[in-house]
Amino acid sequence: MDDKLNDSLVAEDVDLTYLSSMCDGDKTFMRDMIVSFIDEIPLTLNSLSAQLNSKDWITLGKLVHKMKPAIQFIGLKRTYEVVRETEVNCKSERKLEKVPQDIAFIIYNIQSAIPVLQAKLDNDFK
Amino acid sequence: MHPRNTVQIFTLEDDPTYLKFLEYVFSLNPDLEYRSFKTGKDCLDHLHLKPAIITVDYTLPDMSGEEVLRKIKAFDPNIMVIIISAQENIGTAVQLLKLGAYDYITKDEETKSRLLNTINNARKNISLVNEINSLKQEITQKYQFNKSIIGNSPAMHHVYRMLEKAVKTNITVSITGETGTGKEVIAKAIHYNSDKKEKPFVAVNLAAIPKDLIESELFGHEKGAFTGAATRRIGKFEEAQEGTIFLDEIGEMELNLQAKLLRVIQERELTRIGGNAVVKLNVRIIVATHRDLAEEVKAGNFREDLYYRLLGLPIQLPALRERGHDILLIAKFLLNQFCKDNHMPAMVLSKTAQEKLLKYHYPGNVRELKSVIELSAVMADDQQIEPEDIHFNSVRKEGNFTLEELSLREYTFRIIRHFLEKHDNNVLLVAKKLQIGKSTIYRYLKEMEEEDYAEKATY
Repeated sequence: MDDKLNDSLVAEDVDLTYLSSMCDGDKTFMRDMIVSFIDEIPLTLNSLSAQLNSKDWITLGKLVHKMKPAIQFIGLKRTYEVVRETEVNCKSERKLEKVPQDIAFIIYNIQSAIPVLQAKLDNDFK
Repeated sequence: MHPRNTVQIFTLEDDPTYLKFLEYVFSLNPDLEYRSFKTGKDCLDHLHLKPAIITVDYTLPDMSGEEVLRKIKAFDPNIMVIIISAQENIGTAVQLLKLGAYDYITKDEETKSRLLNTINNARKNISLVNEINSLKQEITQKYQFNKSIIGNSPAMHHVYRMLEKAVKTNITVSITGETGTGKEVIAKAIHYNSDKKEKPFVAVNLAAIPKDLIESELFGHEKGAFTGAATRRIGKFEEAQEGTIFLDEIGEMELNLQAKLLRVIQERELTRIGGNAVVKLNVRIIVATHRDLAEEVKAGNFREDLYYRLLGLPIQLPALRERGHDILLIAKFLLNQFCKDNHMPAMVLSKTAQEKLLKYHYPGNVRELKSVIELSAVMADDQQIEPEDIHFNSVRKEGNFTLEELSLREYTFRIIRHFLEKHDNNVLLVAKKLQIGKSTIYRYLKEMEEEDYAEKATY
């Protein structure tokens, strides 16, 4: 990712309130979900970059669509809104000039969330 | 294969994190047995395991949720498909529901509660469907010939032979017999022993419907077809689609309606009142009447062309008094049934009670015998029914007139009156039955009139 862009971004905070409400605070389940997120999301991020480079907007739209529930679970609310907007833009092939910047935003926030989640696993979900 | 109360659910979801969430939701209900699939193909390949419910993610790697839904419904329309999607497009949801999806749930903060509620409702539906299927099976068993029709008399053996022929094809059947001889029981037995048994059996008593309503009742009407037609109504013929319609008391149908019925039968299609659309029909027809339709044709009360259309396989049901010891077989059956239904200990008929039952003439046939038996079971002081517990309350007493001492002339009056009532005051027919001249009947009628006997007779 562009260093300049990187500098202008402030990583969004992880918020597990939603995930906790979905399982009535069941820590075992929350741990499973976080582990699954950390394991699976890097593959999706790689695909995002690849589809962006090839400018396959429809596939890109499907990919970001798939990410929505996972992002909701870890409480990245701003990222979730950007994902929704990106999905609409890609599927309708409108405002495509905005898509690379939005994808960068999504990747940055998710990548920033992974070490935070890992730390939570080590400290709060032993 | 599955314990009685568990419901097997397939879940089709390619996102591993979301799949974990769905599995967690299913694990909250111990009655759910779930199995997960990540591709549409894998899920479809396992449909033979007969899941009751399948949750389907709308966006899948190998095919769309819509395609999966169509294939599941083509395989088994009873499988309940719940679409779970991050798509919030209402148009997509409506389209999927139209295609037969049981529900459409979006992936949001409501997913868990909605999914559990939907599964709960689906389970209730499944249990209702199972109940309906089991009732259907029960009805089919109830109307097996050996369970629904009782009797060993020669008259009944002829009926059994006709029934066996009736169930082999979809031929129209016309059942005749006095009131209470069990015409509807026979019609149901034909239906539930035929290849239409899984389809509807719709009985219509034409004598019980006001004349102005019969056409709408039979053929249905469109909204606004006439004053009071606030909504479209499907008629009995359409209700019986693929199954059997039983037209009881067909002899009571008015001539103008007979013409319409004839057209429907000939064309195998109908048009609802006030409508233009033609509805194709595939319905078996069974008719019944207590009248002699051939005589009604001669008298100009019934269309000849319709008569031949409806005659099909004629089954004449004997009157109970012509069935000898069948009376006791039926009486014992009815008694057992009554005791069972009312949680009473089993009862028996004493020998003298049996003799009393055999001597009676049963103008109301089996229907009358049923009420006689039920009353005697209530009146009996212990588990044995005695003659004094049996009370005959027929409104037509002609059959036991020998109990009274009358003059020959008075007996003759009573016999003529009985036959005239039985044959709708058709003097010609009565004369033929009694093998006397019609002028003799007229003469007696005149005398009866003088003695106030002939109030209702038509000359």
